[in-house]
Amino acid sequence: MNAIEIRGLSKSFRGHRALQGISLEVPRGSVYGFLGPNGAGKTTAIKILMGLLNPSGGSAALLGEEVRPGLSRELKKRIGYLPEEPAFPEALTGREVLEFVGEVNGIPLQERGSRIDQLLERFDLAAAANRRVAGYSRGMKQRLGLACVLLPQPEVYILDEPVSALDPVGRLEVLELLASLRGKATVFFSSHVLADVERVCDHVAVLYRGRLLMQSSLDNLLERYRRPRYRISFREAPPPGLADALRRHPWAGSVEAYPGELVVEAAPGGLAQMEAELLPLLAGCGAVVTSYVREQEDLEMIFLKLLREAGYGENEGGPAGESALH
Amino acid sequence: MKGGQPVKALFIKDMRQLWRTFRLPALLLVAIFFALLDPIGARYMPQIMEQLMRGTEGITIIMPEMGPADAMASFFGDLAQLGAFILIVIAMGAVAAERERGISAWLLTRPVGRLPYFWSKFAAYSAGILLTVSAGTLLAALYTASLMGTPPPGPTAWGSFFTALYLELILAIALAASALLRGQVAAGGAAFGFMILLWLPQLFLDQTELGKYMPYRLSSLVTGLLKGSAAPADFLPALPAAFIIAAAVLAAASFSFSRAEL
Repeated sequence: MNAIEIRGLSKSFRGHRALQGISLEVPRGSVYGFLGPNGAGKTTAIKILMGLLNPSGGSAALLGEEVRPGLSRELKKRIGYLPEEPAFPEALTGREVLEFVGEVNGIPLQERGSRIDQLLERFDLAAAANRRVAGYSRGMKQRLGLACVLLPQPEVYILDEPVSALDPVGRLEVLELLASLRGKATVFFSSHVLADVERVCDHVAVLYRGRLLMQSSLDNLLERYRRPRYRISFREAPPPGLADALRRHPWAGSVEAYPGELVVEAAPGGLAQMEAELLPLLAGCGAVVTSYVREQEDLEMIFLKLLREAGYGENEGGPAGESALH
Repeated sequence: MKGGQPVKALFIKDMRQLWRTFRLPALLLVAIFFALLDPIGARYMPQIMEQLMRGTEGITIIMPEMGPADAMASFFGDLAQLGAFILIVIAMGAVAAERERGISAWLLTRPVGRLPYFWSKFAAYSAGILLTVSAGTLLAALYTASLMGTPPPGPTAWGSFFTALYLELILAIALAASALLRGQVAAGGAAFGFMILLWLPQLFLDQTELGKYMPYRLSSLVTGLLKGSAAPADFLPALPAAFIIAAAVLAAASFSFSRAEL
């Protein structure tokens, strides 16, 4: 059984279609990365899953139970949710927030105290435990939110940008923590930082403008989209016409020209032929090649490629990319 | 887990919030202020007026004799008026502000139901009202006794009871507005408007048979109760309307909030 199943989910806000019939399945025990640029609809989908928003169409199920506005208490005990910007009752201290979470989750009193102490230590909040959360920084609130999610040890973790406010060390620790949950619980988290996703996830889905561009295991995705390519640097500009000449070869999937550089990507199945013919071709054209490096696309490049194929950047008023991703 | 645990945890959380955000202390301070001011006013008003009028010729003001019952009536009147206003100000954000800040979304994704979340707030604010009215009444009665003599215990206790009931009605309206409307200012405005609507019939219906059934009588009859011109039974006709209004607005708020998007 899947931990999360979404079928044809759609959501409109006053005419704006935030989700346009997305369907995805999150296998139990997986660490699932939910990717997409700003405004793609990730938070909307997560809020529907948590019963905070009502879908305009379609349905979703968590641990086999249909999601409705205001999930049942029993289901909520099995789900740990961290919003993008967690907001706590501000008059309470960090410890009181955790005690509240422990109590409503039914954690026995004798067990609760020690678990709270451990989590406060783990998230570097012990010194601030008796301070009101109103005075916490964004990073501290995110760490407290993670502690609240971990305290009841749920079966499914639904985390919206869980490391966005953390420093690099905290980020690494939390990612390692999420990876350590693989097989023991299901982790479904949204992120902009694709290196993080690549580091810990075994499954990914890419959302763009409310549509699901793809979902797959990470291995399948990389195998399908990762094309070996060569980055060739020239002492001066590449000879005129070289890029077009390369493009005419069946082994060249794509040729991108940059100042002083060409990037030649192999067509599917064309790598061996490309490696046999590319270098002699360059030598024969008279250009001085200063470097010839084989590269492998990472998740970020694949992500950008998927978005570009879907038209990303065409209506954003700027170059495809980076500003909306980070 | 026992069914009562989330409610208890919510209630304790709400009481802590009420106290630490200065909402409950503000209400208590209002009660203490009037508990100290009104007995002094009743005791010394004739002398104060005499001092003010000294040197003016041709004007004679006859002040009625003020007694302990007047001091307590004045206290309950002030508490019902300014207390109700302060109550609206502090309760208007109970749900609306938490919704605006994302706190309710965080809380309601824990194993907490929406109705327990809403009703625990009502319970906490109600406890605050009971504490405020009881403590204020006790202080006002003791201070009045030390200045002018003991106020009538029965009417004082009933006055306290009906003032608390009136404030509970205002609380129900303010909390319902807070749950029904998205902004806390809108909620406060709506609650204040509703309170004025409750009082408007006094202008037209006070001397009529219909006037007996109006909820404002829970507050306006208290003076008569203390002065002996009204009995506790005279409040009874106003209770059903007050109860129906409170139940209706709370039910509407519960229904709406249980389906609301957060």
